[in-house]
Amino acid sequence: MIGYSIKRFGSALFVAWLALTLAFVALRWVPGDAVDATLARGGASPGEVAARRDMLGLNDPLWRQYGDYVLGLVRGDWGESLVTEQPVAEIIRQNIGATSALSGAALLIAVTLGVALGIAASLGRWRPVRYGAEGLASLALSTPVYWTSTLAIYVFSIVLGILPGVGGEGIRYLILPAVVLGFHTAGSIAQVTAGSIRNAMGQGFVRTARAKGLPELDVLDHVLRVGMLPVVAVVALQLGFLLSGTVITEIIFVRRGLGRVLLTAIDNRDYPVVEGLVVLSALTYSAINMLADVAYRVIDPRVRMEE
Amino acid sequence: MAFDAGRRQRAPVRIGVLGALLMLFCLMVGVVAVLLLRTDADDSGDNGNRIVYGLTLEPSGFDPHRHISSELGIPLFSVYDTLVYRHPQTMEFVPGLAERWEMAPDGLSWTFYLKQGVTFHDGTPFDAQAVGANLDRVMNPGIGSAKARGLLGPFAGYEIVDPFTIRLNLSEPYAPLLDGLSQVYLGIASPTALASYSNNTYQWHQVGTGPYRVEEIVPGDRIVLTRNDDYAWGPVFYAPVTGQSLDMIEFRFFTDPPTRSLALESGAIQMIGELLPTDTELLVGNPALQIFRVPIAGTPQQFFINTRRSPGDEQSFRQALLYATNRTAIVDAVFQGQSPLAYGPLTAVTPFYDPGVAEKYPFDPDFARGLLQGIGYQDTDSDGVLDRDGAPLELTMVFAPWNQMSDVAQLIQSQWRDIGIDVELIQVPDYPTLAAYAEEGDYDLISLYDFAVEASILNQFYQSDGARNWSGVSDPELDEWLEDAIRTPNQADRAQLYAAIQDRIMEQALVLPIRDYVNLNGASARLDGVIFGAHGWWPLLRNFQLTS
Repeated sequence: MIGYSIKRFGSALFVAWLALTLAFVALRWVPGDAVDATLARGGASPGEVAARRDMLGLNDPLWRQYGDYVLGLVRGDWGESLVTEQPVAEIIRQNIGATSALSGAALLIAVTLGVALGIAASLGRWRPVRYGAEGLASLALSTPVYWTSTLAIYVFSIVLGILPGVGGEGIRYLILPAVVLGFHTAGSIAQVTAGSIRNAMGQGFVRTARAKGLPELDVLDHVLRVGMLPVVAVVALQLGFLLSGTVITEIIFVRRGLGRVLLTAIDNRDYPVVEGLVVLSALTYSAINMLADVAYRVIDPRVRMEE
Repeated sequence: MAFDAGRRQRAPVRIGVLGALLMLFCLMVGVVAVLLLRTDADDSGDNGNRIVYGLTLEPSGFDPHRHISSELGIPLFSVYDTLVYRHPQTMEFVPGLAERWEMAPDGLSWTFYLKQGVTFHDGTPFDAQAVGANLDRVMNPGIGSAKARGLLGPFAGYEIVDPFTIRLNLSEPYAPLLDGLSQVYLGIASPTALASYSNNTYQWHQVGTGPYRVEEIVPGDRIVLTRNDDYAWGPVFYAPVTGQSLDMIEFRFFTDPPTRSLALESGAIQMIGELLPTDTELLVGNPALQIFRVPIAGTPQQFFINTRRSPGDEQSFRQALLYATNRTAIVDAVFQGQSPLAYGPLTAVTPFYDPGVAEKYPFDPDFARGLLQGIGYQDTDSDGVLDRDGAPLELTMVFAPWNQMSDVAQLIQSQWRDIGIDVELIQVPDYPTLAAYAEEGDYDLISLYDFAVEASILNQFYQSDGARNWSGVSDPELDEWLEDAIRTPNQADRAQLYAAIQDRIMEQALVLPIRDYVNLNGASARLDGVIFGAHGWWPLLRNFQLTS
């Protein structure tokens, strides 16, 4: 188990390094830098532009910029924004709460709704229930977040006027964005749940259980135990979608958060901020997948046996 | 033993997967119910006359001395006073923190006589030293001023004549100086506050002398201003405080254009700029809202024509492009008719605009065809695209997506196809990419525009060594006129020079103007006294009133 943990930890660091390096290369590949985006845009003279670039170290050879940045990270120094000169760690600290609240709430909604829809779609007694649940899941998968967000704001805060839509903080402002984001994330959870339950229903142990006279509710419990296994993996995967989904929802619902910071930073070619966020999300993603693995071991004895 | 498994006793209470899911569901319903029943604290409290004002982009920074965005002036124009102001109606300069000023006959120094009894929000008294400290800061290369420093032009230093008199010295005469001093970028900040924070952190703790003080700035989230009740030194166009004046203004960022009208309609905000033209059409009928269309001085939304390569290097060709463009159709279709057509390198509300340009290029596709024929273009292979010496007439048009530019470009593409010009459209995501294209020179048309009340904005675009001379013009006479126009303080001389400059630019067809930029502001019908400063972008919050 200890060896396994070290291996996982090492691979998480590797993923973070890979993501960081890709971000570093991609950012320098696209034309322009932070000085173009901010200073030169205002028609500053070439001399001023060059001086600023020198000051920010953007004229250093790429390998040195890369080395400095990675060394800084190792020392726990995330650098500072090229545009606002705020330390990146501080920017993250200021915004991570809002983003965690949004993605946490959305995840709660996504899992509940997704599993409920999946069960309804696979075990529903009436055909309309099954079709309805399946339709809803497809809708969640096929409509863009952007569209449902705008629709939700229009319906709930303008026509009905029961929920605040945009620009504000506090828990009431969290409801609409979390529901929209959760709804979309629920789509694939529902589909995987439904598929895996159907699959489990056809297996031998169900017939055995019924044959030995187990009450139907207990049979259902057996089925769900098996059927829910792939769902854990999907939930972990969907967290990646959630993180990218927060970018759009934070913009549309005018919430503060890391997604918004990321978008602005990309526009401004604010390298340290983008790279810091990339590292952060790679680490988060690895950590979540590690947790999912552990959860897998807890709920599925077969995985433990194979080790 | 083998049979034990079958007889294994079950725990008396077993939750099971279904049970766990049910609990999760109940938990969620519970949380949502609590949230729905809870009333937000800020709904109940009485904050006096408070509005939320939507900003449309997150500026790359908030320090007016250092940063450049027009957006930062929306809150900060009311936090700072400037030495002089431009009157929003007459565009003339009126006293600000300076009660009067005079230019030396040689134009190389300006003396400002300052108001007495003015204090900053932190209690620091205002005097000539304070102005000096601000000039020192702006000129300090270490702060990397993106705009303020440029506004001072050939600034060469200052002398403090007495505690309330300061003289600014220039290395050469500079007519746009007063305009620079009237902008928020040269707002006078408290020297105490400047000294207490670093060049970088000052932006989160700004202290001025203006009618509103900064209560709180949370980067990426909000800016909160509260009224400065000691304010008694405002410019002539500031209204007196009444019971309906705003006590508190909270600014939030609405970067996604379609959400702006949603926020306005839902009452989440009481005012916002840069609405989409299509949304504005729909909002006009809403009795709870009002629309303010504010034309912005500066250059119109436009394309520069690249004169550095063929075929843009031929004047008749460039002229043909202008005749072939139906601007009325573009403004009607894309901007719902809510903008004036643009005819020249300056918008109609800009001082020194020359109305003479309006007659130059009426939409006349036949004339355009004639011009193209005159320089040897014909459709020899009957494929609908003109050609010359075997090469088809193909142009590359580069633009960024701001302000519906892609719709504009597509209409131009289809209008020009009618006369046999094939246009390839290249949309770039942002300014750095646009600037990279400009640097490479791989374009026939490229879109760029900027805002300023001073006609001297033309220098950076049309001087042969201008920082953004993207048409690649190199005309010694034009260079000289542009240079003279910023040295001559005499208004009549400047007017004459700028008339000649605009005439020359259009005669040479260096630019394809489309429409004058108009900021479409929406506001709650409860807001009275909505007015903007001379530079168009910055509201005079002091004059706003919230009626019930």
